Amino acid sequence: MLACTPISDKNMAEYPVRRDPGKIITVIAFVVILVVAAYAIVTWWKPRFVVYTYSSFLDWGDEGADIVLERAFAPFEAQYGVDVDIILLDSDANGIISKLVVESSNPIADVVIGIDNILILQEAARNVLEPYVSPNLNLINESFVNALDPDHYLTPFDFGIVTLIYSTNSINTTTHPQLGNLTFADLAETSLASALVTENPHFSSPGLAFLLSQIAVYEEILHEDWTSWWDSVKNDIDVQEGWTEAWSVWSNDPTKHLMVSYGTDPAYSSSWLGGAEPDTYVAPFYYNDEPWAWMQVEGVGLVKNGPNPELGRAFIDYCLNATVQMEIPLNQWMFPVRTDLALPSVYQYAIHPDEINMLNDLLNSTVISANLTIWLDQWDALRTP
Amino acid sequence: MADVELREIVKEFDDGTRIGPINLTVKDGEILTLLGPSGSGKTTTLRMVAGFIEEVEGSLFFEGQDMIDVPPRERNIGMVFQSVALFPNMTVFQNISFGPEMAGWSRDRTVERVEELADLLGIRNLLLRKTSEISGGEAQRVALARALAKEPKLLLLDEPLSALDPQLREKLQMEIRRIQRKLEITTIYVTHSQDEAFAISDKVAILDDGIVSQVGTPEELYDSPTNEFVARFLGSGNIFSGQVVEVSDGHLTVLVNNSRFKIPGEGEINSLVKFSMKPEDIIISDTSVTDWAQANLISITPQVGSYKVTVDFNGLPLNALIYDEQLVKRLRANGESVISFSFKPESIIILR
Amino acid sequence: MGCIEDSIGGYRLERRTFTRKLVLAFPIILLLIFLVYPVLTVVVKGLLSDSGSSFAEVISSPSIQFGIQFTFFQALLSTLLVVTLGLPGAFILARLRFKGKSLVRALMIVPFVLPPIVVVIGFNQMFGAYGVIDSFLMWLQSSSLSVFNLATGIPGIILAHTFYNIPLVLLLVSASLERLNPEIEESADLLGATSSQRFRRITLPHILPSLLASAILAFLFCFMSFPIILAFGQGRFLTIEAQIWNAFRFFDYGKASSLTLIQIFITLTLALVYVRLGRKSGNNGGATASIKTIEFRQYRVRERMLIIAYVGMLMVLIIGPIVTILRAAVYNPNNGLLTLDGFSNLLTGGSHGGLTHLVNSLFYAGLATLFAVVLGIPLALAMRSRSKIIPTFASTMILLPLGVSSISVAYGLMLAIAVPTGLVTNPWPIIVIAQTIIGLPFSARAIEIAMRNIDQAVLDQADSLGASRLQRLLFVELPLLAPGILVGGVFAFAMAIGEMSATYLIALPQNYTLAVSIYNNYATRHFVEAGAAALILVIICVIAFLVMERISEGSTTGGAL
Repeated sequence: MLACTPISDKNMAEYPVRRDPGKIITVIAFVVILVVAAYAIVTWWKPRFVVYTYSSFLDWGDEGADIVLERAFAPFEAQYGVDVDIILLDSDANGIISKLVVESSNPIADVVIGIDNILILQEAARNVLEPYVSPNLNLINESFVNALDPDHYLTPFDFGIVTLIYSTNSINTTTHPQLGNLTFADLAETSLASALVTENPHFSSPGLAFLLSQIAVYEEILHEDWTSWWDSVKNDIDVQEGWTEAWSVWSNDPTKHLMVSYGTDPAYSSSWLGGAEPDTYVAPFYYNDEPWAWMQVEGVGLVKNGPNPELGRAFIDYCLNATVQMEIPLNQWMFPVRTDLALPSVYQYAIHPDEINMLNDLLNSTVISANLTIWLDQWDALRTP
Repeated sequence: MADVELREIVKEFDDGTRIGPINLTVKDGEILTLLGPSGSGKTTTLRMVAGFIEEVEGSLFFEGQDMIDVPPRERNIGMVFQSVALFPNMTVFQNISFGPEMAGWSRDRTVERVEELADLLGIRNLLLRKTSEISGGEAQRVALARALAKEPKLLLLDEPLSALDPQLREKLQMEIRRIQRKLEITTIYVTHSQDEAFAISDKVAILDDGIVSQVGTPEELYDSPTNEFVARFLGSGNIFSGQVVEVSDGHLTVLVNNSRFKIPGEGEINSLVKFSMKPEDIIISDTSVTDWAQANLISITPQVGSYKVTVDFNGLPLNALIYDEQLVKRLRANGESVISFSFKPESIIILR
Repeated sequence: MGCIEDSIGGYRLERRTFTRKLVLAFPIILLLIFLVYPVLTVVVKGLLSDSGSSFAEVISSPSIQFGIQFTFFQALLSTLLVVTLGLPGAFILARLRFKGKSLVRALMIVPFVLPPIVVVIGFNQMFGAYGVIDSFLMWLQSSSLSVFNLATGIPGIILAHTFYNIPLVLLLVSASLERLNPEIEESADLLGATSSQRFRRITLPHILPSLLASAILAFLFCFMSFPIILAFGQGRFLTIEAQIWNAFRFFDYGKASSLTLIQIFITLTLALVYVRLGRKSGNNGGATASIKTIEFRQYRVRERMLIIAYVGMLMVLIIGPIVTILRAAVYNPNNGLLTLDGFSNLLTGGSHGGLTHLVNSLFYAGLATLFAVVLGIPLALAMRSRSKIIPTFASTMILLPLGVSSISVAYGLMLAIAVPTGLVTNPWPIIVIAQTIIGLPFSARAIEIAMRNIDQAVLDQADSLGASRLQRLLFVELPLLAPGILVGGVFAFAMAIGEMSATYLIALPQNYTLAVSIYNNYATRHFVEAGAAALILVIICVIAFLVMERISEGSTTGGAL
């Protein structure tokens, strides 16, 4: 007994025990699966009514989009017993159409808000929408329907004009008298061209409106080649991706005085200053002693093959109701198509389409849809260094 | 009953080199060494026995069963490489216990076996060390313990001591032999060192360019090489080759480099014959002796207990081993470069 | 008896080989489903659709042609600058002996793995308007307007690319230099060679493979570069990738598909050349660190001045932008004030809050890293397989993410996977898939390199000792591969967390990651928010690399290249 060496427990405990990586891996896998499952469950998407729109929708008021959207659409939710999910996509309207095109074989959106009268001329936009004639159209002026889309792919929602704005703090009609009588030729001069911020017509509707404005003026009023203007401002002009970026540049860069924006901006400025005189002015183009600008009408559309077409139609009808329309002036800073509704006092400073001539009249929709791709390609070529 | 038998083992490689056909038998408990120069195929043959080489023709019998298609992990062999190849991420204990643990032995049994082998190899104090903390000699012992842990039927050793210094080599040679004897485990050993092979083996197989040149005990190979390659490789002989000019009564007279030598043997006139003779069987004289061939003295190298005398026999270098100090003194003093040499006819071996 | 044994053994052998083939093929199958199929879908759909530009129109359009030329031009110029500026550094790194060398070497890789959008922030902060240099110059000239802006246009793009890619040359070439046997150079000396002859005939040929390899890699990354182009290109200087991005956004599928095809052709050619070079120079000589190192004071005064000047320049170019991100996180150029708003934004929750973005970043990148490692192991095994077709196939699959526009991949995933399955509503799995794909080349390559370094004899031992294939993998191979897995994992993590374009395309606002929010904030001039988020990303990346360096103690950098 004494001769053999007993294997004491102490000895055995001293020797290293081999760890089984298989067990470690199983534990890790288990933990990972748990975490992922938890995340998935928490973020699980419950079927609801989906609206696609762009990110600044009804977001420019004092209260912020969350509250305004809640107030505007809560009655609809209550009436129909649905959860309305307004998805604020991070792009201008073109990006939304792009997304709808991708999803066209299995759409998840029911309604889209924010496609305007130019965008609807593109075939891709029409392909993802379904025409709908809302009974509530009798609440608004027929001209809006004609201005936006006589084929009813879109139902009018709001409108405004696209024009140049400037801050009187940096320039005004005293320092730059051209501003009161602006032509594109004035704008081409380096002092103004290098102070101008505009948007990319591929991605932004005001940007596109500006391009079409310029084309309309040159082709139809001046009868000159429109490309020459872009050639002359090539090295001075600042083209931002979209309106939000352009607004940031215009607000913060002390060298940028002019921006392509909306005719309601003076009203916004006044509201910002507590109702006082605005320091943002518009500078429409003057030709033949007449002011000209581009009218934009935005609409609501029914997504083709959406999951809830009935609800979608009801929603479009609802958008023409006062509950929604009255939020537009102070949160969207556009004119509501329900012209019977009273406008806030600051809107005295906003430029109404009735006050100007519409460049839209010079380029009709057939001409635009036939040439838009060509114009955009030419614009690209002009911008190539 | 033979324990391991290689029967008609052949392997053709993509680049054209070829091993085999090889026929070898290793008896149960025996240690056979594969000896040969670099490139002779000894390691390849060993790896074939281990199962690391695919698509080998022939049969490989372990205790009567053909294992040629069985993967290495099921052959129940233990193998030690020249590069040792300990598992770097494990301690010495875990290295040795690897085989048993993979096979699912109980903890008790594993520990018992590891300790037993550690005692046998004298590495008990190293069990808890990391592999980076032990010396080369210790590492080989660990490798040996690891190979033996699962009580394999066959132990394969591929030049395990080549990387160690000579003193350590000798010491470990003896240990390996001792352990092999104690465990009575069939072993195949590969080396290119003749000394090592002869020191530890029961049987030695000389490999030449992929085939077995001769198999036998060390004495058999040294005393009776059957062909020129073995003789040259073992250095067991000076090799003479010449034409038979006379045949008489169990003797041949062979003309080698314009000298005639009479040797016992059978043959035909004008046939070519090769025979070898061991250095210790050449007799050297500093005086001229009739009937003795003459050669030019090249060098005298002292060795332990003897002198190696190298001479040039008309272009054929010969090595003789002489013990006569006086003769050596005379040869050195003479400055003579011509010596005579002869040999006892019975001491030659005719080679095929 | 023997016959039955044979047949049973043979059957078992067959089944095991089949399982093994399946395991090796599994990641390849996944890549086929989630990479090849989506990209093919997008490309085919675009080329065949009626709307949008046709391939012919695209090729002949002047703006596209300019784009292609510009892509080549800026990549070439950047690469030249990278090589010129990087070579002296490689020599210094190899030859000069100084304390903390291994730490410097480990941190040297950081600029390369920084998210490109973070590079934008740092670069802007160092060289851009109201940045560090600009503010200093403005103060000197008592100006209130920006006087110096290098972070824009072609200079900005080239410089930012140089910053990004210099580590490649520094690390790869210095590693090669260190393996140059000093005795060769000494022999040349003894034979009377001048130092320029020595350089031309001995040193240069020796480092040529690694120099070429790093140049090709740098060219490839500059070619595919996207956030830097977007930020500094002023909307006018567009590379192919930027044009693909635009084309997708205004749904011109034809243009996007055509451009993707052109791009694939060019980049895959380059990637294949790189792999060939890697194979050839793989066994480039002897023991590492055999080169003799020299201490600083052993150099002549003139040489010392040059070294100091060079290191100074490198610091400004490389360390500068990283360190100034600290300033970017608190300095608001819009009003010239210091503020902590950026950080408070990071701590707000909600679907637009920085905290959500941070959590998303960590979660998606973490999962993507896990998948990249798990898939990387069988892929690396496949690349080393002895069969004829599997290694080539696997190697090609690995190169694809490097050579295909990640925007096309994202779009393809949306179109081919997300839309049919309805994942559009909550697309985070798609984001994880996209990030996995982007990290996979790095993890697989690091693991493969680690596999090369495993002594086959050790694996043979495991076999002969009776371990099953699985046991050998778990108990021997994986522990030995652990450093390589760690390296691969950290690289994959850095790639995933820094990925911007694919994530941006796929994500809904609640899925945004830090990288995406940095871009958004930067574009809308919320510089402090962008800066704070960028700082967090830098810290995460640096920590990851320090951890990797500590745990794997050795020449890990360059281990995934």
